[in-house]
Amino acid sequence: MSAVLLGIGIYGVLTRRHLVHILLSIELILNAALINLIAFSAFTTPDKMTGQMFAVFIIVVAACEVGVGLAIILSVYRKKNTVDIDNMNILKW
Amino acid sequence: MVITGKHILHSAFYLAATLLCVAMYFIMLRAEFLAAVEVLVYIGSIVVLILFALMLTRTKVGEDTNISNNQKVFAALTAIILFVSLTLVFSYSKIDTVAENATALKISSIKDFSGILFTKYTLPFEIASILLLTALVGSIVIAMKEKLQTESETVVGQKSIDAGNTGNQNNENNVLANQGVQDIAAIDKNIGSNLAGSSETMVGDVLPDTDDAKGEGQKGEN
Repeated sequence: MSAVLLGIGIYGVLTRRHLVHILLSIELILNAALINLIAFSAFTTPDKMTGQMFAVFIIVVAACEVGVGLAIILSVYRKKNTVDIDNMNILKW
Repeated sequence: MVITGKHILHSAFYLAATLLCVAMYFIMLRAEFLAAVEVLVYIGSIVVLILFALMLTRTKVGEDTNISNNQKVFAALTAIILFVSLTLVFSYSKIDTVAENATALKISSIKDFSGILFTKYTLPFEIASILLLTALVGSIVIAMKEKLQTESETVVGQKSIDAGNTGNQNNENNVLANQGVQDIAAIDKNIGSNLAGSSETMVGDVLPDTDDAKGEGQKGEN
């Protein structure tokens, strides 16, 4: 299940052109990692809760990533008036 | 559905549905607290944040043609290869599973969870809070700085457009600005002369005001 979600997420990251769409796909990938952590934690060490703890920190990092990513998207949109990554070539020389 | 949705708004709502399903998986894996956190954080805040960003970055409504680039084949190949390799690794690896079926899983209570979180994992907890604060401040700074830059750019652009289009009016404006500056200076001098009799310190206070008015007038000329 998590592998399915990961595959879908990577496909989305590589194919979409909208920046927010890519962010949605990254969310999918992070959720795949979360499912993996929870599942292996539940099936191998059900009394330690290490995986759940790690998953909580992953959720925190994902929230930070989405906030900063959306701020970057907003600033790029204000500067270039587009959210198409084919037009994002200001880092290219 | 999240990645194949025609409109990006639809895909955001599909993402919410997918996250709800992931929360259901968490409940089945006996992680009720994480399911609640998933629903609260992801569906409650992240999807709403994404919707706000969509609302703010809307360019052309209705035009959703060619939303994907021309890397579809390679992307599908990469995703399929990753999926197959992951399933092979998971199926062939010898993981010593304590609990074979879901019924034997221990129900994790929030009490145990918080006990471990605040005793053994206190330092990562604090680091996570610092990370959240840093991300908050950083995102605000990124959004605000660009806003100020674009505002100044638009103001400069408007001034140059005005100067280019209406040269005659610009001269008239300069004349008017000069008159305004002279009027302001005259008023300030009158005030200064009226107050000069009362006290000298007040004059000292008023005279810099005239200088400021002239400075503003020069800025207006420029």
